[in-house]
Amino acid sequence: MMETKIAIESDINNLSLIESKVDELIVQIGITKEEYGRILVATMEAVNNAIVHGNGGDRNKRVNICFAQQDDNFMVQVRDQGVGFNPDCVPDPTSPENIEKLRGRGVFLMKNLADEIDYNKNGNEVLMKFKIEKIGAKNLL
Amino acid sequence: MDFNIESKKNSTLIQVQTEKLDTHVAPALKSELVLVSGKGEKNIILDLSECEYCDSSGLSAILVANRLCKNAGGTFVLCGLNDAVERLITISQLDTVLNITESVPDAEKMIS
Repeated sequence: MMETKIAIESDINNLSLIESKVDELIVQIGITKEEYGRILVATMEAVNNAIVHGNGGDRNKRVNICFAQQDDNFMVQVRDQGVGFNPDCVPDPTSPENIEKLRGRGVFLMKNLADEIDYNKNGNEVLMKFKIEKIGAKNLL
Repeated sequence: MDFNIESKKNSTLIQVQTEKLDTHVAPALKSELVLVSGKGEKNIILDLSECEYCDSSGLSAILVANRLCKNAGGTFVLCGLNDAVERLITISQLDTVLNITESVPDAEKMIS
């Protein structure tokens, strides 16, 4: 069982810290390029949403991220200090009236990239689970 | 430089030269697209063959390009999609609203 926790201020510039952390963990674990892409994009969407929408860019509010891996499961938990949202009420970005809209795909992508996704009752914490195939560090990326 | 911009006979080719088309790069790409369109170009080819990954902000930049060309009465063509980028486009069903080709020459044929 591997577990890593990070807390960041709600500043969009901190996204690169999370990206570096994902890269670092992925090197340690050794997973395929395809899995890396899914985990990276879904994680960045979740953290971006937490900073911008959850915490409203308020630097006094933090985003807590927890990465965990056990056997063939990789988990990413992202929690913000906002009031939360109802993920079931997010408009479908693939519907004809929304498909060409410039925004509103983050939550949809997270749902489709993760193998499982759960929100807490308040809607300010998301847990994404990814099935991974460990290939060993030597075959990386 | 994150982009290479080249004037073609009937279009402008923009090649993204970063591994990731994400929140770090997408805003600058949108600015470039607006500049190219503002100079009167109505046909834009966006080559993503050097991009391995894309997120929702990257998709947003792609849709800006599509909108600019459409509003100008021209054509936007996206090409050179790597696996992860193509998967994101497909998941989002943007393949139903965008012109997509494998290569730049194919994109040029579509416009000419």
